[in-house]
This record gives sequence, C-alpha cells and structure tokens, in this order.
Amino acid sequence: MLETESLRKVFKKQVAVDDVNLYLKQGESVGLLGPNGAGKSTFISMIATLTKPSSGMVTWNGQDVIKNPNIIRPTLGVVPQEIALYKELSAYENVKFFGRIYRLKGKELESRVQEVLELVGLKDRQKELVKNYSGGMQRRINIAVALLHDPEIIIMDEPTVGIDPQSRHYILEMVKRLNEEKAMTVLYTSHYMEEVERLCDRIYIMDHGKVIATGTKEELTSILSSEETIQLELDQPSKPFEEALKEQSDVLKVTEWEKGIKLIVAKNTRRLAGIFQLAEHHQVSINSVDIQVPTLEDVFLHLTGRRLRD
Amino acid sequence: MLDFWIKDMKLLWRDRTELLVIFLMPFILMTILGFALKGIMGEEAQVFDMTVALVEEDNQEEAAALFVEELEGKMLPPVAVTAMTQAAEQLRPNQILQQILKEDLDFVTVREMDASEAEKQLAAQEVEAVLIIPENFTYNLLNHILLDQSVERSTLHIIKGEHAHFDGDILQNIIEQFTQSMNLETAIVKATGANEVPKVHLDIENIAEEETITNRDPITSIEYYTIGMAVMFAFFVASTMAAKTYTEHSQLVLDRIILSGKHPVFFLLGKFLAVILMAFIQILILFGLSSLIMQSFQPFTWKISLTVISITFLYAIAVGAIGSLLVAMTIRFHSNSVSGAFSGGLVSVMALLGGSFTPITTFPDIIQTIGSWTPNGMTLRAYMLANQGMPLTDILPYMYRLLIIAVIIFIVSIMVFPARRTES
Ligand SMILES: Nc1ncnc2c1ncn2[C@@H]1O[C@H](COP(=O)(O)OP(=O)(O)OP(=O)(O)O)[C@@H](O)[C@H]1O
Ligand SMILES: [Mg+2]
Repeated sequence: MLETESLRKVFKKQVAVDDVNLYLKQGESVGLLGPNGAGKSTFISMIATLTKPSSGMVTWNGQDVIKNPNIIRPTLGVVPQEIALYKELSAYENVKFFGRIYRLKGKELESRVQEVLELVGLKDRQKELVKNYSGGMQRRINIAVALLHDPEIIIMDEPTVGIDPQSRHYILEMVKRLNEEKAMTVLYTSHYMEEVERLCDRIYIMDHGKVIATGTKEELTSILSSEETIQLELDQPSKPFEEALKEQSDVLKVTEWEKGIKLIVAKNTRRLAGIFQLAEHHQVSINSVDIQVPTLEDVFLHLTGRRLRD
Repeated sequence: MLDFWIKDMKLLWRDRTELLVIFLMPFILMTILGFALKGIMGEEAQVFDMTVALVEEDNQEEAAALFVEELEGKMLPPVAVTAMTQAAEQLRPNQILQQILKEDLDFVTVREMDASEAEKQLAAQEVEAVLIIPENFTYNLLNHILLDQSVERSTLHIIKGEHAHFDGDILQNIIEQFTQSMNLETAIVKATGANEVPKVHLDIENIAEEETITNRDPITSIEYYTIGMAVMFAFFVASTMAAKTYTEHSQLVLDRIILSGKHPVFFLLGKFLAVILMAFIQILILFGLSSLIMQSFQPFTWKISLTVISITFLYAIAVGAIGSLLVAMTIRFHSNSVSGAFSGGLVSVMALLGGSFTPITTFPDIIQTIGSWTPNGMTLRAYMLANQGMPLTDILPYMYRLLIIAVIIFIVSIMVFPARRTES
C-alpha cells in the first residue's frame, strides 16, 4: 500500500499541496480530481519521488519513501502531464530508447517494445516520427513508455488533456483493462469528472492544495443526497404554474430554463403525480420530464461554489 | 551512455537546417573570406625573414692584440710568431660570423644592441632571437685554433623567442653549422700543420632549403580561413546541442532516468560525446572540402595530416566540454538564454580574439595574449604550426593547454549539472 500523511509542498510563499492524506491499495483504481492549479501534479511528483516534500510522509508498505526513494521507483510507472518524447524520433525509437534506460536488452527489449506499442494501439504506425502523430497518439506513446518495465502502480497525470474523443476513449479503456485484467494499481489525475467517475473505485477531490472530499462516487454524490433536480420541458411558459409549484411544500427551488422549468426537490419525494395534476389544472402540457441525479460536478460546485472547468 | 549518445546523434542528424548551418556555413564563409581578403596574409610578399639581436660582449681587436702580445712571451721560433701574428690579424671568427649573418643570409636582419635592450626587444617580440657573442670568444678561439691550447672554448649563446620558436631553430641551425665548420677547419689546419687561415664555409644553400621545407608554402588566405572557420563553427555544435536540450523537455526525460534508477549524469555524458563526434566530423569535412575543392593544404603528407587529426580530436573534446557546460546550465536554470548568449555573442568575440576573422598579430599585445588563451585561438595556432610541418614537440604545448582547459570545463559542467531536482 502506498500512503501519504500530511504531505505538504510550499513553493516560496504558495502552498501547492496542503497536508494531503491519501492511500492507494493494491489493485485499486483511484482518481484525483481537481481544477487547474489544485496541486495535483505537485502531489504526484512527490509520491513519484521526483520532488521533495516540504513536510509529511510517503510510505510504501510501511517503509519511508522519502528517505529511500529506490524502494518504490522500480514499481512505479509515471505518465507526466506533458509529452516527454523526442519528436524527431519515431515512436519505435522513442520507446526503445526509454526501454534501454530501464536496462532492457536484446530480445526482451524488442518484445516489450512491441507489447506496449500493441497495448496503446500504435504497433502499425511505430515507424512514423512522433512529430507527425496527432496529439492523442503522442499521449498514447507517452503512456506506453511508462508501461515498459511492467510497473505495479501506474500514476497518470491528466493523460487525456486536449485530445480527440477517439484517443480519449482508447486511453480510458486501456487504463480500465490494465486495472481489471492486470490488477495494476492506478492513480488517475484529471479535471474531467466523467473520466474519474467511469474509471475509479475511489475518488479524491482536490482544490487549492487540499483534499476537500473523498470516497466512492456514491459516497461523494450522497453529499448531495437530500436533493434532486427535476427538469420539465413545457410547450409554453406559464407563470401561474410556476407560482403554484413554489407553493408545494417539498419543492425547494424553482428556476426557469430555456424550454421550461427546473425544480429542486427533496430526494425520493416523487412528486411527479402532483406536478402533472398541477400542470393539467393550469392547462400546461409537459413534453418531457428529466430527473437528474447529482454528478461529481454538482458536488464540486456544492463544495467550492465553483465549477471544475470554466 | 551509448544509448544516450546514439539518441543525441540521431536528433542532430535529423535536423536538416542545423546540419546545413553546421556543415555548409563554415565552408561558404571560408570561401567568401578567403577570396575577399586575399592578400591580407601577404601571400605574394611573404618571404621568410627574421630579426636577430646581436649582443657583442667580445672585443675582437683587443683579443687579437692580447693574443699577439702573449705570443711574444712564449718561447716560439720567430717564423712561427710572425705567421701566427698574421693569422691572428686575419682570423676573426666574430667578424666571419657577423658577415655571414649580415650579408650572406639575406633573410636575417641583424640589429646590434646591448643585453638588456635585447631582452626587452625579445619580450616585445620585436626580434625573434638573441645571439650573444660571449666575452673572450675571439681570444679563446684563437688560442684553440692556433696554439692548440686546451683552453675552454666559449660557445655562442642563442635565446629563442617564445613567440618564434621556429625562427630560433633556424638561427641555431646556422650557428651550429658555423661552429662545426670552424672545428673542421681547425682540424684541417692542425692536420696539415699549415698555419693558414681556416676558411669558413657555411652550407647556406642547405639552410635556405631547409627553411622552405619547414616553412612549406606560406599560408594562403583560403587555408587561413579554413582553419579560422573550423575552430569557430565547432562552437555552434555545442550551442545547438544545448538549444536542443532546452526543447526536448529534458527535465521530464531526466525524471524518467531518475525513476529508472540510472544516474542522470549519463544524460550529460551522452550529449558530451555527441558534440565531440559531431565537431570532429564537422572540422574534418571542412578541411577535406577545402583541400579538395580549393586545392589548399598542398602538398598532402601523412605526417601533417595525422597531426591535424590529433589536434582536431583534442579540440573536439574541448568543444564537447563546452557543450556539456551549456547543456548543464540550460537544465540547471531552465532557460535557453545561456546557449543563446553563447552562440549569439560569445562565439563571435572568441572567434575575433582567437583570430578566426583576421590574424591577431595586428592586435594589441594584451588582446593577442587573451586570444591565445581561448580554446579556438590556441587551436588555430596549433593548426598553423602543424600546417607548416612543425614537429609535434612544438605543437604539444598547445595541445596540453587545450586538454587542461577541456578537463576543467568538463568538471565544471558536471558540478553545474543538477543530478536531482533541486527545488526545496
Ligand atoms: N516549480 C514550481 N515553482 C513554483 N510554483 C509552482 C511550481 N510547480 C507548481 N507550482 C504552483 O503550485 C500550484 C499547483 O500546481 P500543480 O501543477 O500541482 O497543479 P495541477 O493541479 O497539476 O494543475 P493543472 O491541472 O493545471 O495541471 C500552482 O499554483 C502552481 O503555480
Ligand atoms: Mg498538473
């Protein structure tokens, strides 16, 4: 198990990571969600032994990693946020070069290179120069390099930033496979909540260097469990209907949207029958009803008053 | 390390624009400068000459008088005394020597002066060598030749200028011939018993011949600028490597190296070796093109070529060390301004001081001295000497100096290079 305790990093005066406690059990897939500048990369860099923490602890199976970085390094595969490849070299040459750094040789090197290229789906195009690749393909090679030495833990820093949906889908599926089939432990950083929701068993939400919430997706969204949003699409706007809805005891808030009305109601009250009755009474016809379960986005909004991305 | 080396070579090799700058630019510039500044080397006018300071501590008239005076005190037959007196009047080794230097050898200019003045002028490089005729030189020699007395013979003393070893060597050569010739004549006189004035005969033809062989043809402007551009453009291999390091996300690559458990210094060593190899190839290509296309550096000899290759190799190491330092600083300061300042400014200054654009003999002394301590400046000199066919021993001091500078710069580069992330 990889664990951090009150991990902290201060740059000059700015606290980039503020007493973060996090753990990563074997085979788990954990998400680290936060907006730009939350401190995700800095945090990752510390557990990857590349940046020295200002204070706090990092342990790997109970052993101090800060003192002995070498006990964890061979087990880590780190995918940096930026693409760390030689654009003038081909994908094959890049992967092979980094494989050599990892002291792979001869047949073993060659077979590992082909294996990871296959894994990221670029085996057929390995001879092309990286600079001629799309952003998404470059990101995939960036990941391939981190997988060369078959690490136990893979730490990915926003591996899907700014790429096409197809590559993004590919990467997500690949990480899922690595986690499920190879039992690789995953720490996945992102500011896309959908990715983290889809991929991760547990999620940490970070903002301004602090972990502001943690748990499974269900646990997190249950922060907002007392409410749900009902969105009505109406054929025409109707003030009297809106007023009538506001009178209802378990309706907490009524707002307008372009095609109708949005209600925030206490959860599980299932006021739909009453709503339809009221609509009929006011001679308004409801075209569609959409009951929205809160998302992590809503959770983040709720906790910080800001959106994840803007 | 080999992997890093290969990778860096590939990266350089695939950058066509950089390759053109590195390989073609020096050739083009050399051609332009070589033709435009033809005559700056004084090609037609350049004949070998040297100025020698003659310090005469001997008074030959007094010596002869003294010798004759002493003869009379010796119990010698009067005939012998008369003959020897006559011989002593005529035999003036000092005079013979001076005549040879002043009249027979027209490439030697003799200036008479006293010892301290000679020293001054030698230091100021106004004369190339000092010839001292010691006290009692004539007297001793007369005794030796005519009386066969085992008096100690005074030897002529030569001081070679630091700046003109070659000239000094030639002067020494002349003096040795003169001395040998005197000895030979003395031996003949003794063997025949004839009290004749020995004839001093110097093999002037031979000296002159040797002089032109050693000096080869005077260097042409094309040759000069081939050397000048070679030493200058090698620097751009170093700065190009540093600039590439900046754009290659080197910190992230270094992170990967650290994670792999390998020491990051291999990263630096790879760059160091790549610069060495590139600079080496670059310079040899330039020399090759120059001699093939421009017919320079003729006639070709293996001895000179090997010396040139050795100098090139050493210089490539020095350039590699500079490259290593630039790379280390680029990474340390997360900035490409170091290599920018180097290629955009320092190279030109060093090239000027080192004599890549125009021979620095026209510059003030202080600048010449600084120039001779730039790696390119000392290499330029070494190349010139090698091209004149000078023996390795005369070039070695430059090569040692170059090696020492290379080692120092390389050590500094390793100290500057951040072996791990240093943010605290
Ligand atoms: N080397 C550094 N020196 C000074 N400040 C830094 C350094 N690295 C990061 N920071 C600051 O620390 C804070 C956290 O940065 P970090 O890169 O960890 O955030 P992040 O969550 O990864 O953001 P993003 O989503 O943009 O990648 C930022 O305010 C950043 O400006
Ligand atoms: Mg980041």
